[in-house]
Amino acid sequence: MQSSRMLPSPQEHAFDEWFRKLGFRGRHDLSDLQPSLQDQLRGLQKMYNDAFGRARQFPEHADHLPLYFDYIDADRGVENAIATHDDCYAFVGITLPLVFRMSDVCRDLSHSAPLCSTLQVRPSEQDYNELQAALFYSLLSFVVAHEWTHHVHGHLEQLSHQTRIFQEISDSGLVGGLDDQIKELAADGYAAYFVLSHLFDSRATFLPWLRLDPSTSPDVLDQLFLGFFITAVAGYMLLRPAPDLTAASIYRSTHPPQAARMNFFMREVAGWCSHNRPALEDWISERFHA
Amino acid sequence: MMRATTEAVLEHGGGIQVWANQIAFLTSAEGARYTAALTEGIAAYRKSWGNSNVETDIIEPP
Repeated sequence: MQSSRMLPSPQEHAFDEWFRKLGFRGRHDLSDLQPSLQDQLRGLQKMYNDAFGRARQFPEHADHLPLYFDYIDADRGVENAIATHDDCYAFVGITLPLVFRMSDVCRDLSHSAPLCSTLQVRPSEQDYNELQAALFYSLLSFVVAHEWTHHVHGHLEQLSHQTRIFQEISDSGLVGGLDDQIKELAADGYAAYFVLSHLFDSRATFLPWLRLDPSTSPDVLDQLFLGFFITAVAGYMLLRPAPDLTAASIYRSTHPPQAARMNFFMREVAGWCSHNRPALEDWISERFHA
Repeated sequence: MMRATTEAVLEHGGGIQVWANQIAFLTSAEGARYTAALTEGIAAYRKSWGNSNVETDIIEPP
């Protein structure tokens, strides 16, 4: 009984094999991390995989294999999130170095006095405080949803080459084009809609550990949660390599430059607000000038 | 808020200047042409994706 629990599931085995083929060290089983961190990351993994399993099938969605999210074992500094598939599963993978980098970015943001002042929050002095946790959860959800979108929008099937891979952070040089950049913007926008809806629908679960004033009005909570999400995603986008832009090179990148990407992301967020929280449209135009 | 976010993430290694350079490029005539190309591309993508002609059908959450 003990040994059977240690056997990898079919999804874990397939993920491990496929990412080894892609040049990584395979699946990261998290066993060398602190127990509390293992629990947190496994809990998030289960939540995303459960969400994949429950996801409604929209007629517009491309046919895709069963989805599976896991962590990639990669060398230090290899920061990437990837959508890819083998013959049996559609994978969403994220390297542990990117998970840690995202966590650190959220820590830096949570200790920024100007940012806390603008958000009107006063997190505790702990290195990894409750604001860091809220930002990190928002951000990881966005990254997973972004890679999920590449699958359900059929982007991988449209690739003309055989790599069957969409990667997020690593800069593979000027090998992209406007079509690739548009797919990235589409993935950002679709992810924003789903994650914002999730954050706002389930925010009651956040409130106890965010330690907000119980009398905080719903309108202010709306502003806070939108602020968390935009801030976390902006911090993430700033992680990408930022080459000097020229009129020629900008059309040959795989992703739009951060400032352009952020601009289009904010348009999508404004669109979500227009449909779901019209009062927030003015708030974001006042608070988020790029 | 964008400025505070940018400074918190990019305060080391000249990142602020990189961000400023991007803004400068994107507000130039070449940058405006690039942004227009992306805007047109996204509109075309929305019309073609899932064979839907209604933009909001594509990005509307469940």
